[in-house]
Amino acid sequence: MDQARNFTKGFIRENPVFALMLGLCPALGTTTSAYNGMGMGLATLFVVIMSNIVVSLIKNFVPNKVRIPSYIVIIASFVTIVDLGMAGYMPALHEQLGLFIPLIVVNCFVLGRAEAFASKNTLGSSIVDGAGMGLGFTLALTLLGAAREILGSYALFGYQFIREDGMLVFILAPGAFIALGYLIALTNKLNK
Amino acid sequence: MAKRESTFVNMVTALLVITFISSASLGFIYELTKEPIERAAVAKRNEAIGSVVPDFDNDPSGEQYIIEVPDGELVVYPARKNGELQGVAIETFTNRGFSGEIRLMVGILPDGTIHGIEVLEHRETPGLGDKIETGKSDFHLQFEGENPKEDFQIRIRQDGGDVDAITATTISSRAYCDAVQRAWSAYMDDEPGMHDLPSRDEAIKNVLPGYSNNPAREEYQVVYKGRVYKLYPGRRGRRITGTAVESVTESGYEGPIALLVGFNTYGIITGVEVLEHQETPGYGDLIENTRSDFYKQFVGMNPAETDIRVREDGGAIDGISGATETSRAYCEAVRDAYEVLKN
Repeated sequence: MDQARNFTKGFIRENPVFALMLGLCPALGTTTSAYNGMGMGLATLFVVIMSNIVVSLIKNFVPNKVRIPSYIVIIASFVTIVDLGMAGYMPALHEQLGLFIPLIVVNCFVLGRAEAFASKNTLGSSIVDGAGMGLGFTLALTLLGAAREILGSYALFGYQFIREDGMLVFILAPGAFIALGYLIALTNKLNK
Repeated sequence: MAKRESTFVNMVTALLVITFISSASLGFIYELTKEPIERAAVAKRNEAIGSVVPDFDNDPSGEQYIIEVPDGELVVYPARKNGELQGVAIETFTNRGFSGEIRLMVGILPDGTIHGIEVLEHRETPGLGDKIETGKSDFHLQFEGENPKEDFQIRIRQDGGDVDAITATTISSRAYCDAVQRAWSAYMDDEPGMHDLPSRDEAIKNVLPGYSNNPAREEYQVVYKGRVYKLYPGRRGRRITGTAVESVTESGYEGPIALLVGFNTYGIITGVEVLEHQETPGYGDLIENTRSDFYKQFVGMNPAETDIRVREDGGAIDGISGATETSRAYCEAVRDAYEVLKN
């Protein structure tokens, strides 16, 4: 497969959130601001690249019947590494994302890449795929976070441009669904 | 390499190898990040302490102590400058938040004035409840410089207090007040001199054996080694049953300690009460009869036969751990009282 296409497919065409509808739980939960969304996206990016590398390396060593438990253990290990590393070196961000970091383990999009791509492709393509899909996920979460922050608190990346209370609903859970819905509609339009 | 068959042995070895490598690497990462994680937690706490109390030059975390409250415990960090208490930062909590526990750091000056408040942890609704955070609204400013002793009720107006709740965030505001109130009351109850040390009359009653007169009214003074001591004789009819000696020592850790020591006619100690002290809460203040059994060591003791000094000095008294200076001063005051009585 053409590596450039492989890399860019995650941005819009096969964007994990907007097109594949995977990993919606963290996408809705953490995106109260653009910064949080980006933090969560980058954490997932790291996990998906690392797990893709390891899964593609061991794909022939792991028998078919135990592949899912194996992948889950590998993903969970990387998530714990991210969790500990973030707690140690980025305590402020860790506090914001706290609860959601361990949930990357059960983010079906990460397991999905391991199962659908890394276990069938070479190391090189798997890294490119992980990077592209991870960046797509980061992009989606940042966009969603930005949209919610702009509407909900009249701010972007913490910088407030109207000193007033925003439309609260966008900070709360229902606003997450509404914003996501419009962003999906937009990507569908772009995909046509 | 061809894909391995799903035989029992292959599956077990694959899972074993993967889990082994995973757990080994996680153990390694855990060791690696342990220190930074602890450092981050300490840094965060120190920052919160620093922002709620006035300038200090000690290490408040090193001097922390705990106040037990009915549904948990509060950690108190005393802030000192040149050894003098500037205020305390209290890590307090409430379970009445809109989404669970809220943890605050409340700075209180020695006179009870609230100096500053920081939010340590909460899960309140973003955009609503999270306005209790210091950077997000001026809510916390309402508390600063207020002294609940002087007509400031730490309750929101809806509950009859003096705090304006954040709009649409009544529950979080109420919980915040609850946490502040908890810290304030716990600390003020615990502060030396603030709580119920016995009055002189009560103390006399506690240290002297059966008497029927009013010893306080028969007070007389004795000068011993250039200092004035007050003595209160207890009698039944005309017979003296004992004498209470008020003895003050300057060698306390934080200042003078005043004791009332009761003796019977044989010179045996019948009781000891602390009348006044400024010793460190959690350590030195354990000399109070209501806080530890330290005083019981003295009761029934004959100072003529027993060496009233702490063990570290070769005596027979077990000092309070962490408060040797205070225990030493206490012993000195008891010895002085006995010397005064003898002379």
